[in-house]
Amino acid sequence: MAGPNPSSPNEEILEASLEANANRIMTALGKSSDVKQRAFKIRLADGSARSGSVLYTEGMSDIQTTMGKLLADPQLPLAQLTDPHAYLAALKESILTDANVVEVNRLAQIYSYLLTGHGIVLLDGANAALAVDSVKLQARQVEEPNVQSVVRGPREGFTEVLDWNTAMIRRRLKSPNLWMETRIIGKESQTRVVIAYMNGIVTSSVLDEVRRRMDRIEIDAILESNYIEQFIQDKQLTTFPTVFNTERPDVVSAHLLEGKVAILVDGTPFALVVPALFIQFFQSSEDYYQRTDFASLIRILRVIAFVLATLTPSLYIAVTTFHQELIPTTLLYNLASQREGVPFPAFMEGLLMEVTFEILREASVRMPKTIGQSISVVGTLVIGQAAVEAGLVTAGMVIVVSITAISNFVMPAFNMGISARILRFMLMGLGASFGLFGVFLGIILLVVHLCNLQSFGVPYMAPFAPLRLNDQKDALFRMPIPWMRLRPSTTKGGNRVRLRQRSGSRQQRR
Amino acid sequence: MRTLSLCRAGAAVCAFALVLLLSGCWSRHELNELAIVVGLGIDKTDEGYKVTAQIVNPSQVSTRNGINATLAPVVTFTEDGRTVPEALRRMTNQSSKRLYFAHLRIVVFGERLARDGIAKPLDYLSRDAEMRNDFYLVVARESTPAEVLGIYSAMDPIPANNLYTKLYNSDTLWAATGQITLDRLTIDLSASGKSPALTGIEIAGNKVRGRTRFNNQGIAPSAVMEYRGMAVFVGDKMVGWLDADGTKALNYLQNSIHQTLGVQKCGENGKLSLAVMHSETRVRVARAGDMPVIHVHVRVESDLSDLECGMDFGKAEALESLRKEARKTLTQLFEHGIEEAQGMGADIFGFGLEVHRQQPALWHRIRDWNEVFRHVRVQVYPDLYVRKIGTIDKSVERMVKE
Repeated sequence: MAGPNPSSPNEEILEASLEANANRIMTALGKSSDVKQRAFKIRLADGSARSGSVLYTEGMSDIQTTMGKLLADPQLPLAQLTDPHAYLAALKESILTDANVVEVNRLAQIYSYLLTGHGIVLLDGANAALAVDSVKLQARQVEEPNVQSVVRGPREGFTEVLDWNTAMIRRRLKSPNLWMETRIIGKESQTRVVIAYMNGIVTSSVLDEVRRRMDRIEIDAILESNYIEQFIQDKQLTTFPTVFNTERPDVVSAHLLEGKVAILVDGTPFALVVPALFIQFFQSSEDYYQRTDFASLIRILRVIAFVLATLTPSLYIAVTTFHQELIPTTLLYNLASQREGVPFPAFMEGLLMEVTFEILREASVRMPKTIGQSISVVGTLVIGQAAVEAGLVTAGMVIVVSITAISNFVMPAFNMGISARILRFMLMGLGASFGLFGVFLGIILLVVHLCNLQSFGVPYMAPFAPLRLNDQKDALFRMPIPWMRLRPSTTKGGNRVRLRQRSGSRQQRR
Repeated sequence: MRTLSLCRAGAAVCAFALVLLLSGCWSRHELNELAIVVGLGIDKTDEGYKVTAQIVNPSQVSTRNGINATLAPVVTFTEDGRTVPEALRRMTNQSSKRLYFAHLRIVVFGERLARDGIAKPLDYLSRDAEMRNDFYLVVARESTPAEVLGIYSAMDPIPANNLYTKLYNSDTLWAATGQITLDRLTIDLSASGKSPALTGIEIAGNKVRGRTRFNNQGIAPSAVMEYRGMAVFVGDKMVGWLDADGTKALNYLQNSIHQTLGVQKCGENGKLSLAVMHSETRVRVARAGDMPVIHVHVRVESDLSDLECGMDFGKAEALESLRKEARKTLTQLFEHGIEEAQGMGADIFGFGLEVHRQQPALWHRIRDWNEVFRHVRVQVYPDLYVRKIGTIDKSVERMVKE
């Protein structure tokens, strides 16, 4: 495990007195109750005893084995050492069996080790200390991803522990070309952030851009990867996500192999992947684990669902209030009869139902799981039968809102669904005031906006605008993996050959 | 650089804001503010027009209530006006909702109007942006449009819908009617070598009882709206009625047969029916002096659908004699139709168009085609092919005898 780097050179260093050192450290940490001190004594060969102390943070480190080693009767050569520095060096070299033991003397370093879960061994008379890696985190174990679940495919998802996450990627890509850079971001949180990429495949311009943008971040704390995302995304004023996030190690690995850069943040299971393309949010890792034909059809279905989720209410409102001639005659009778006795205009009806649905959705995310059941029953009633029978809305509008709501969750990427939800309201307003004309005006604006977006220098709408024929193999359609010989052309400058003509072991993607 | 892009963004926003002025809420109508007009009747009065609009009462026809509802499925309003649009505007005195014409299914002209000329009211139907041109136009026979639109229909709760589908089906399956839409009619009206013809609609049965809900309470409806023949126009003025056979001949000769059925003699005193599945007509125009001579080749493909004589289709001669008889029957049918049309001086078949196309020099010397048409020689050459004879070869009658 890589230790934290001393960020600012604090020249305060340890003194020789154990008591003074311990006191200084404890005081500096405000005598925090979770920082504990375990004192011990070592009997030396000449009969004298040397006192020492182990400082550790409760709940983050397990110093039991360390203590066992320290308190065992010292072997003869060791027991003859009377110089505390020599003793400390001997402890480090031959006694402490922990993987990572570092000698430190600057206080700033000691704080950083101590607060990341290391045990700090202080010895009386020595103006240095040992930082012993005794980190034992109480963290969520590796579980099946909650948000991006699949029917077929790996069932493990990232956890809150950065090192486990990097290990999960490393386990998939045992290549020496998988390089990871660690940096500490957050003045107070001291969060470790890893930039991972495949050396030789990665687009160097993107990598440089990522480094530059990460270096610019100055913030007190990074609590989730979205903190990073907001600092590094290309455009703030857009509803479309230009940074991809995932909690699946297989997805990250596949993206790395396409020359992308992954950013992992300690404390969150969501890793970022840049650059992100529009179509990427419609692709699921499972597309590559199922048959080709099925995967392509499902991808097309997702795009249809996105269009439905964005446009259905606005089209319905536009058609029923401006272009009744477009409705099949028999359907028109039915819709008109439903409208009898409904007091609100179609737009208000739509708004009412959409807002109700959004409230229910938000409530179902936030509310305790134990009462979820009863609320969803109430919700179904409110949104469905009861609202129609009470004459508040028409049954047609309920169908429109339901199809919209369901379509919204077809997208494998949740944040693209959010985008559709926000745009829906905008388009509804346009549809209600200007009819289909307004809706199409809105669509044109959206397309212009989308074509204008970039993610780390890569056009957001690639490979459609600009059109790249070779990349169509894995955009809207997913061709069989043996046909995808080249990596996407967004991998500029890197090694683009994915598989040789006669390749025995076909590389698994995403 | 930054100010420049801001300027451009501002300009773009302004441009889009201007675009929004092109349309607006004033053309917005909620569904419950619309009176969906499905049938329109236009007849002539002394001062102008009497217009009848059949309006759907949506709550009575939707699937939610079924057709057992107590109120009438449609409402008709009748109003007079100097022009058609005036009468329709005046109708707001009666209707609680705005009349909406995009779903118009059928327009019924009164016979009086038809004889007086349909061009004037057609102008409104063609000019109004809300009107589409996919509705049918018919002429009321022995009744007024208001009466026709006031009859309860059997099966379909909306009479105008009933009329629409009825006309479609009878034309495609029986060919004794014609589905004429607005665009078709205006083309025929403006062509100088073709006269238009519109299907006639009449009320068969008890007109008074037909106006009440009781019309459909018996199993056999008291009054049924029935298509019969076609009204023949010269220019925009109706000149007479074509009977069912004449209409069939019209459909054959202008090549608009989808399907129909013909009955012909078979043997000494038997009959057989042929279901026509396909028919193709080609017109050749020759000239004899100053007069055109028209040769019409009609190729009919049919299936045998009933046999009531001793003919045995196990033998090849049977088919030959059937075809011979068919040629005779079809020739009679066509000649009857042509005779009727020539009698009225109305070239409903569009032979004039063919003369124009094939003999342009001759055409330009003809002043009044409709007058010339009365005396033009028309030769018909029908030919019939039998494609399928069905699942039995001998007639059932013969099997019984044997």
